[in-house]
Amino acid sequence: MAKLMPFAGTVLHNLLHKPVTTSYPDTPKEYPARTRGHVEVDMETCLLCGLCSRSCPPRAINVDRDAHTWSIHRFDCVQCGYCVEKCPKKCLKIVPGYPVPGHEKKLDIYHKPEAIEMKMGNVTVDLSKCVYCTLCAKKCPNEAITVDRANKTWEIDHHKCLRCSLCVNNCPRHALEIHEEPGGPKHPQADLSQCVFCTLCAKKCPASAITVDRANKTWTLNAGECVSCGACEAHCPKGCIRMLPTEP
Amino acid sequence: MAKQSIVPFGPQHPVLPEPIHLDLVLEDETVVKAVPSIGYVHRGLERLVEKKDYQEFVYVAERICGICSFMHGMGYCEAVEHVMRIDVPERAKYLRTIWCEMSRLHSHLLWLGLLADAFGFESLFMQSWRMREKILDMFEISTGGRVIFSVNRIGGVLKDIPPDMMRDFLSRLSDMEKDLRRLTQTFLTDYTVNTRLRDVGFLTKEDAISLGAVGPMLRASGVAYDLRTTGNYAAYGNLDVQPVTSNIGDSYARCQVRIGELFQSMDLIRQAAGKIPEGPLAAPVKGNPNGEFFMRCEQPRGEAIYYVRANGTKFLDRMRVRTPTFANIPAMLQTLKGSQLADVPLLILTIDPCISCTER
Repeated sequence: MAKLMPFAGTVLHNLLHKPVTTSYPDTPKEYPARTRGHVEVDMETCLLCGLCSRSCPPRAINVDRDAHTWSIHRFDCVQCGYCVEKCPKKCLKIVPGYPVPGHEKKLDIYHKPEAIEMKMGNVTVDLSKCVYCTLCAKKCPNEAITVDRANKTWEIDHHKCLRCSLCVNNCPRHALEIHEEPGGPKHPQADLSQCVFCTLCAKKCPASAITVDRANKTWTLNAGECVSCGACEAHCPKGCIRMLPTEP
Repeated sequence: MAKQSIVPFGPQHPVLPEPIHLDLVLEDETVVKAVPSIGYVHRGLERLVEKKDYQEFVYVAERICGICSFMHGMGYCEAVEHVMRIDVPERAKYLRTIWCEMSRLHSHLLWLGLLADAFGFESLFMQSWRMREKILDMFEISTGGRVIFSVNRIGGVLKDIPPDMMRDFLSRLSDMEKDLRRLTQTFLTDYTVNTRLRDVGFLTKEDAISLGAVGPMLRASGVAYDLRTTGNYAAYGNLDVQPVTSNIGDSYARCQVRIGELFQSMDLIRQAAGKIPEGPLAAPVKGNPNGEFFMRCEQPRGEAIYYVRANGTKFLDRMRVRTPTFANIPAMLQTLKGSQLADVPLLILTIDPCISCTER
């Protein structure tokens, strides 16, 4: 009998028991605590350092440091949690509950509270105070600071520096200072170790201020022509162009 | 000789969840030749290594396919870890093993359901997928995702399975095993199921080897080849893995091997849960990779190969995946020769085709 109708037991069991499915939305779904539903930001602690925006695989996050806003395209976000992992202040978290479906792709914008003073600019060191403890290098979210204890050197890569002021806040000797970025126009600077000389920046430049020589692997900027629009930074596929205020 | 005619099969067909096209050359109702064409869902994911840095690319790699997503992410991570000579903590290796085997369970249960659907046994299909749902729930509890898990990173894993969660999983698994034994009896002994599966789509041992078949397709033809036995990745070196094989070589054998692997996976999860050591979840990653590596791992569908070439910057030069379905297509064409037209959907299904993987 068992060989003839091996499925009969399952059929009988189904007839005598309740269905295994629940009827949604009458019975709401209970999500486990780890469910990756959507990203939440705590604007009180956010430094607007932009690391989340740069590491986001689908580029769903935008950080505008001038307007003091953190924004996310909920439809572009794939809930991978990489921003949460990268955030130096741990102000991002991924929580259960999926974003509500909608018929338009709108941007969710969060503002940094006005009361909190933002300090952004170039980091400088007072070497007479520095004890080369390397705490700044350890705290730096983007590995921009190199400290050599043996040779007593302290170096910062202004290209990598996010101007997040984490190093300044963590320096036990108050040897680091952050200088407000001077106003005035910003110009692009390229990190040639990353550059693939694709010429996209030159093509997108409305003022034809950038010259890229693929054969000789050179990237040159005619600062006099540059209109500081930032189109090159926005279009660089490798993210190697940064708009910086002054020559570091 | 009877007159030959050509019947197009796919890319849209009720038995196929994904698009593949075959031109079937028929003599009466017998297939004499099948000409495949692929390329309907190519997304160019491999080229994205030029735009996403090597750490971000983990999230692209696991989106190659929605069924073996964990193993794609893991395969890519292990390849980069070998290039960078990172020593992955033991606990992370065991956790990867557990999630790998859970992936195998859900993939094989999905396949069993699709198989039952292909021969018209609707309630068996639903029962198989009911079981699969329990595995997906376990994935959601432990990783936070049901399809895309995002727990792999270069150097280890991101989430832990604490002891109480592990105990809960083991009790869920033993409940499932009882149910599953009853359910799989239907696949193996039911008269109707047997008439559809037995003596259909023979693949001899010699053909399986010369056509380069992989995974359950190869093991069902009597070749004991399973990359988990080499112990080269995750924690398989510390576990007792014996390849599940069958000497028959027909569709029934492929079903038998996959059912055997369901119970083997449950056993491996129990072994791993018993041996898992305490320790960190991930090793720190410094610098950029430089070098190249071929990584091989056993996915539910068979052997997958990941090739990674790095140049010392944070963007890789090349990343390439050889997926098991691609390797199994020649063997599938061989089984189609001489089969009846009515058996074609079933035979295509017995290789467990995953076209998203194949075309990336």
